[in-house]
Amino acid sequence: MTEQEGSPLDAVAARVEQARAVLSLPTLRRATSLRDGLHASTLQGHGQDFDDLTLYTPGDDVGDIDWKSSARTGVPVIKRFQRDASAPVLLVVDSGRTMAATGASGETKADIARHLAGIVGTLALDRGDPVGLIAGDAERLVRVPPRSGRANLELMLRRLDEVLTTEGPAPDFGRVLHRVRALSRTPALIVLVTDAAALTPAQAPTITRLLGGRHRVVALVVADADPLDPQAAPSQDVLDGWAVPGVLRGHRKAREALGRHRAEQTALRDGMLRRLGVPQATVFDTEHAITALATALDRRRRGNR
Amino acid sequence: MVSSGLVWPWALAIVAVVALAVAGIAWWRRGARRAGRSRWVAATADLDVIPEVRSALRRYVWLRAAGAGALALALACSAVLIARPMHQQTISERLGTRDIVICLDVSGSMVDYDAAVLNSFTELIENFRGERVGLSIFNSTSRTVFPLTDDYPIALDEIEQGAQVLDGVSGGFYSMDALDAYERWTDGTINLGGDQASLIGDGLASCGLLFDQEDDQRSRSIILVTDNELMGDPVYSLSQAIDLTSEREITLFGLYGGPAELRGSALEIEFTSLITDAGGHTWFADDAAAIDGILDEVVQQQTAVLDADPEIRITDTPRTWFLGLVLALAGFWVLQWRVRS
Repeated sequence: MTEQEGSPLDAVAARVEQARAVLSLPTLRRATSLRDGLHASTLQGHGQDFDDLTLYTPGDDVGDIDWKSSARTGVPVIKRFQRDASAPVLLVVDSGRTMAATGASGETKADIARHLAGIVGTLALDRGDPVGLIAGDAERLVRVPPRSGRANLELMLRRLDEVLTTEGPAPDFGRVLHRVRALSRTPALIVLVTDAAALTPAQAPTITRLLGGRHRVVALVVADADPLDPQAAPSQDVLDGWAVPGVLRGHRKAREALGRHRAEQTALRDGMLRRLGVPQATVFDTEHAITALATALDRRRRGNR
Repeated sequence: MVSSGLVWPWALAIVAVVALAVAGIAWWRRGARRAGRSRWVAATADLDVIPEVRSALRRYVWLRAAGAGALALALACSAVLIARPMHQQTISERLGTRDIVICLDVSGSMVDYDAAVLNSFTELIENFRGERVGLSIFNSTSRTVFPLTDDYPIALDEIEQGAQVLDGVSGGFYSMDALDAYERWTDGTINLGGDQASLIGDGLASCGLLFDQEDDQRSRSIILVTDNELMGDPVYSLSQAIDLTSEREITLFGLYGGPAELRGSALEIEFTSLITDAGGHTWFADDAAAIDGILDEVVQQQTAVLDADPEIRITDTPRTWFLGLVLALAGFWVLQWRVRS
């Protein structure tokens, strides 16, 4: 959880290399100037507007290969797009104590949330975008204003570490979304990090209003553990302390029914977010966080927009 | 007088305290164990709306409640068992300090009549409550069929067996088997050669020696059944034997048996007079009033009340509770098995 002297980003760093190869954050608007550019290689990004075609060199995103052109010329050719201008990336993290509970992989959901924040933050910084944080629940609201630089991201991760505990207040993601709307006037890429319980169809109007600004929203849903898993330790609800009776653990019918119930909830959420045009991914563990993230962003990039 | 109760009622309280203490410790340790082992999860509220979960939980609650009930029942039954459920019977001994020896002449002249006499003694014994009774048979010598005892079933068994054997050889016609049985049963009563038989005085004297507990102030009676038809040369004559029994403060009851022709004979008169002179009573053996008369006389002989306190007899009655315990434990076991399955 806490690191001695190292940066909280160290844990993420190894993964980010992998992330850079497969991920890029969605953009808000096109660049009007090419003023940012310490690293030429990163300049050639996945902007919205087609720039030109160039030969594929190792290290380029395989997804950018233009297969039709490649077929015509006989060598791999990639499309190049204009680099987009920077816009703040705002991580909106649910800090209710349900987020400190066990996740689907056995890790805490807090670990997964921090990991996601680290990856998204690092990618944003890579691109030169400022990164900010709003973490909140029924009682608290923690804010780190968007800034560039690793120090700010590290601060964000430390704050997340502090607030994501099982002793924290109950979650209230609707309240957090309202505050986000009030707090961020400038268009930003908003990355929601929360769990299934917070993103019910009841939240649709709130999210619509968020979108009503000029924000773009990506939802990352951290999956909950199966409370009836007979292999895991006995479960106790983090909200009300209810100990799940041993008889339900491994109760085949109950597990199946819970699985069906969760699948229904997921389908409802998917439908809602699709209607709202919000790309989303369900994250089960840190191991596959990047894959999940890539899926969400891919959907966005290759989607109808 | 019969009453039910517990021998150690305070054991109930001890069991209750111990059970509560154990339950408390188990509860406390359960909480502590759970705190150490459980993991935090979220979104269990979903479970509340799933019908399968609700029915499983309802079933679980019922099974647990029934299990708790069965356990409580088992505990209650064991508590009662520990406290020793019992029947308390207070017996005031009516005739408890009396010893009665039946002294039966099994000589050839009496064989035809002994079976009927023995059968009438079963009636006598059925009226006994705590008396001790013994049976001795004699011809030329004596054999103790059973010594003084208050084990009436055995006494009745022996008497019935004797009556059967004697019945088998009465009437003059009998099989070899019946004769064998008779000889086996009377074995040891003919030891002094063929010319010695029916030594009544010796038989009576032997009977007089059957009384044990000579220090106790018990009433002692001998019921002498004979036809007084002496053959041979006894060590004790009848009158000497009666002197011996009188010396030992033994009351004599004479039942004069044998054929009807002998009634009024010198033998019968000797028998009757000797016994009545010694303070005893005589009847004819086939007199229906004889047994009642003996009983009346015996009852009047309450010479000493030795155990003035009524006897309190306590019988453990664990059967119901034990059955309850077994059933409750079986029920608990089945319910636990259902819970775990």
